Amino acid sequence: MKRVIAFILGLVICLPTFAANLSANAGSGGSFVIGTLADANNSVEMALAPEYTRLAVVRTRTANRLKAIANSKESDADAIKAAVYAATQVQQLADEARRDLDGLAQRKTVDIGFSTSLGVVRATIKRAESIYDTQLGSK
Amino acid sequence: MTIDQALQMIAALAQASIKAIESGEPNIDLLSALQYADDAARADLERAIEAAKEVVG
Repeated sequence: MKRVIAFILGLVICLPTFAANLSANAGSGGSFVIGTLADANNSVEMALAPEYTRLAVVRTRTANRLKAIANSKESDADAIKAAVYAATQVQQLADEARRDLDGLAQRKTVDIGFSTSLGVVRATIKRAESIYDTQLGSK
Repeated sequence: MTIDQALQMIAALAQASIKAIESGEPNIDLLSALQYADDAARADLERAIEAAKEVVG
């Protein structure tokens, strides 16, 4: 985990320098200011990014926990079967949420319909997270 | 937001930023980067499920 954090922090620290070099090569005088700000105000992207993040993380956590349970000498067959069942439920709920998120990502604006649908997706992701917390995370 | 969620988003932002810089785009495509991350996480979970099934037969 520490290696991952160090890698990402290193990447973030180095990125502005990398960007400035590329911008300088493009003839913009070394500034990181490229393009206009008009297209950056993407409310759909801002609304969906946290939910996609939750999806990827709950799947990753579930996979890591399932691997640990399956490889543990202390786990009996029933415990592994229960973990597989829980992990399968997480995968199915995450797939359902992903389909809905991909549909919402096609929208151009955040309106009431978008917000209602997003609420349903959040509830689905919450169910997946609850399964992880209660059946996998605390063991 | 948990630490791993924050790191996931940072990684996606960094990946999308590098891709935009390399392709000369003025804006990043964050959702594509997050979709790619979820695709990878899904595949990893699927492999873990299949491996665990093999352990119990």
